[in-house]
Amino acid sequence: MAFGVALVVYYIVSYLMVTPPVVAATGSKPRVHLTLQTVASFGNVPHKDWVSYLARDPRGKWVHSTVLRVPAYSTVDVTIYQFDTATGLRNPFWGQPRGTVGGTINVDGKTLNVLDPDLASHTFAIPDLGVSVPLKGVADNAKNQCSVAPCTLSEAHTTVNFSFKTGKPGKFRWQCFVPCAAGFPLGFGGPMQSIGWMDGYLMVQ
Amino acid sequence: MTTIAGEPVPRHGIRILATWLVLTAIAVPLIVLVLGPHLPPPHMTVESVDQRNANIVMTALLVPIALFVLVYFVYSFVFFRETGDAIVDGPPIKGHAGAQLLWIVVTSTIVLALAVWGSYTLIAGAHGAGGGQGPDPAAKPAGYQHALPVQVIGQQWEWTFRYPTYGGIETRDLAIPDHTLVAFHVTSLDVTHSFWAYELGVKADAVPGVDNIAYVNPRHTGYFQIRCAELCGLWHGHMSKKGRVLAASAFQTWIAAAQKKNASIVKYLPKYSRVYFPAPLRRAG
Amino acid sequence: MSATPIAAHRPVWRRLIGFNMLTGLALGIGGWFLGAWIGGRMAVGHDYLLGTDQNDVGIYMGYLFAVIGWLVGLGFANYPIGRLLGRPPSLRHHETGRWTRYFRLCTDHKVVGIQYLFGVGIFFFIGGLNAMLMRTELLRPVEQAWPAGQYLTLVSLHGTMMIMMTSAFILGPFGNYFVPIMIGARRMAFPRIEALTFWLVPAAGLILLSAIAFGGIATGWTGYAPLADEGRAGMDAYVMSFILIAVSLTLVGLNLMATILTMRAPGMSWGRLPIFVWSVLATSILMALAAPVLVASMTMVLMDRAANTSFFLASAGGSQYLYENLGLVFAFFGAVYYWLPKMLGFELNETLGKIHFWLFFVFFNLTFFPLFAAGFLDMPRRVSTYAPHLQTLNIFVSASAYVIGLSMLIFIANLIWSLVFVRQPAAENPWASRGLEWQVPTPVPIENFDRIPVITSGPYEYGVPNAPPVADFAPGALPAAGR
Repeated sequence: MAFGVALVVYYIVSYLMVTPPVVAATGSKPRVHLTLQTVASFGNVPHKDWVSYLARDPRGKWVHSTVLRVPAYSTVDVTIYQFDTATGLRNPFWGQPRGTVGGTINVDGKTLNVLDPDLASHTFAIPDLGVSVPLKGVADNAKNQCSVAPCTLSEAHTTVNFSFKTGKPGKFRWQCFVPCAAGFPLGFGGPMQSIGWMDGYLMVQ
Repeated sequence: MTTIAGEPVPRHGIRILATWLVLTAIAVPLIVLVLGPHLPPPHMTVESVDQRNANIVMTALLVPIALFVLVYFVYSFVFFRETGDAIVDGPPIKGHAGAQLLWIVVTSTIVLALAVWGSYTLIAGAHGAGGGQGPDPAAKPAGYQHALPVQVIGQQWEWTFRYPTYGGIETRDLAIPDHTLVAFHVTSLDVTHSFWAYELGVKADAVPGVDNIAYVNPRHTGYFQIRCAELCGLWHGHMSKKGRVLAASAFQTWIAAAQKKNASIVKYLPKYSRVYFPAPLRRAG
Repeated sequence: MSATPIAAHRPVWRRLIGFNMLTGLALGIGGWFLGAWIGGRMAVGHDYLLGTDQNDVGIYMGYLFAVIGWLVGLGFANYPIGRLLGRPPSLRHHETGRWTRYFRLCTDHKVVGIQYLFGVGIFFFIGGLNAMLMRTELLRPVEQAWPAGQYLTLVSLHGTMMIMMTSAFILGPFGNYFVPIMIGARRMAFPRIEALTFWLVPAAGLILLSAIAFGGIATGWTGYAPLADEGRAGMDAYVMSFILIAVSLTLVGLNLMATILTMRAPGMSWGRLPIFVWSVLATSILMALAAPVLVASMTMVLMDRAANTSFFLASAGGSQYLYENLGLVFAFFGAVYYWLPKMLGFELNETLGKIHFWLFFVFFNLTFFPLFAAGFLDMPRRVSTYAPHLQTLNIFVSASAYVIGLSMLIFIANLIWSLVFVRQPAAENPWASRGLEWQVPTPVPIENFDRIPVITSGPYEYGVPNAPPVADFAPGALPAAGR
């Protein structure tokens, strides 16, 4: 019986310790660069049908993680390659970019200060830093859509660029605001409530 | 006065009562005069002051009751303890109908009085005391028809706010004017949240499909803390931000700036409504 | 099926074959795979299950067949099938004196009481471990020990395990063991159902723990919808285990009510019932009324998750209002120290017991009282981050909670020390009690009483000069209808 309890303890504790690896931004203070991608279906275990973010590490490799590290008191330039089709924002309010330098985002070369909320596929939002950026979706009938991560630039995608500034160090949560979790009631289950998929941490150090 | 085995029995009842009275006489003034003003919540609004006063009354009433139980127990442990190893029965316990009746009457009276007092002050005195009253509030403060409506929208996992009398704009930040009756219309777009504005003394559940109304009368300017008080998923503990009570003129400036800042999204927002049922219900089937 | 005297010479592995816990586990695991496969076939063609990568139908079917396999393996199907095949009725099963009867379906209510004691005890400690892990996270105002999703699962598992277990904390072990003896009966009204109520508990506990393998539970023990609808597959474990516990509680309540109402010995008038039996009766009535509601609401969540219904989704016409349910722990430990001499026949070490009590009592108050203050100071429930100025308070609470954990370790040490090493046999009535349960020998005979006693006075007549004895245990000379 003691052995059984010890097994349970091990089981519980090993579950608790699972976190995705930290991916650092490229460059160094006071200006760094983050490159992310969002995919419609991860295509691999453990959840091949879940939507997900991926991050590119400084060596150029795509990592399945949403724990990002940037320096404090810096400007962070972000490039997101968006490979998923649009679901639309539940609250259209998030169609306006906030907290970015200039209050704008650059989508496929064009500077926008608002995105039609129905065209949003995901968002990248750091509420405690006031950052919220809608990500434009790929057209439903676009050719050559990606279905297995990591996706390559030859597949259909939109490119979103923006910058934000960090202040003092801390650990900030970030999330997507589009109800993009396919099949889950309200679209907010599964990947939308899991770190490493559509939620993550921004470590400002 | 009774005797057992020929020895006079000390008057335990009188001793217990006297001890309790002395402790109560010390405790209650301390609670009301010294501790009271520091009891939470901080007094930023009429409602939070009402809540703090209610806390003072409740503490001043409940501490003597707790003291009575404690004094009785501690006294019993000390004075009725059997010493030595011999196992001997004490005097038999007999029922005393008078004591039982007194107990039932006193406790029932306290409870009923509190229920009546609480209901009366909640509805007639405190007009809901900052709590959500549902779509059809029973306790409306004077001048409620002219209250400033502010819609609080809970969603996973951030609060947004709409001002229907200012063009229906939506903002991420909350500001309300001082010395103005505000009616919060709290609702949710997805799961159940709870809008808790700590220093305002406001707490109202955000339920999808329901317009939960809570009134508040600010009396001081300054910041207040907003938190989510109903478990709503992964980032429930992170749904917090600061709101502000601004002087009336500062509020006008603020809202004008907010209208300008949020102008580009206004045309995409749904028409202001007391509740929303936004699509999609499920994505992709 | 039951062991014969020759069995003592059979090799160990042959003695393990039969209808017992091991067989139950094996058939349970087999049932899981069968059910999951059936659920997989049922889900083909239903779009709403695509894309989630979790086949809730498969998971529910898996759990359902696992529970059926578990119960069949324990032998619960044997009697109904036997009766259908024409075998005569019987009340007793496996009521031998062997220790193996604790791991099978045994209709002796004393055995069920002890099974409950260890069963709920183990899950209580696992729930307590979760609490220690939660308090570790709360030592700092930002997330540092466990990420947010895992913390919520800890919260939910801690709460659910405690609620599920402590709702049967007194009724399970002590209600089952002592109520028949206290009312002068030989058994409970429905002995097989009593055994069933126990064996559902480990099934529920194991299913709940399996939630970890399926993504955890993010709703807290209350499981409010619509959040519950959104949950990952771990939510199905929560729903299933709550359904099982609710069924178990309903049956416990009905069984105890029937026993107390109909099986009191002659002379056991309502006025002579010990207060314990009264409180068990009151709790049983509440159980029988409240627990079925749990089954209903859990079933609605199950349907929302697996069958695409919208009970709780407002935008499709449902409403979250449809989902509408600490003091006890001290009673449990008090009961353990008081009654263990009768239940297991050994004394517990008194010094260790006192240390356990004082540590638990003092630090329980030092843990939970400041939590009231924390709530008043702007800290919500079920969060792993909080305002920095509350860190000192939280550290104090966590430290006090660790001492509670320490006191529990002292209790376990006492148990092991007294029951395994010292093994000091207890006197038959160490507390000089007038209770009926202390008038029977230790260990309690299988049938409790040689003859049903006639009760002649109440159990609280301490110090009354010339009080009649509490019961006449050889009532041949008295008229049976005496009162």
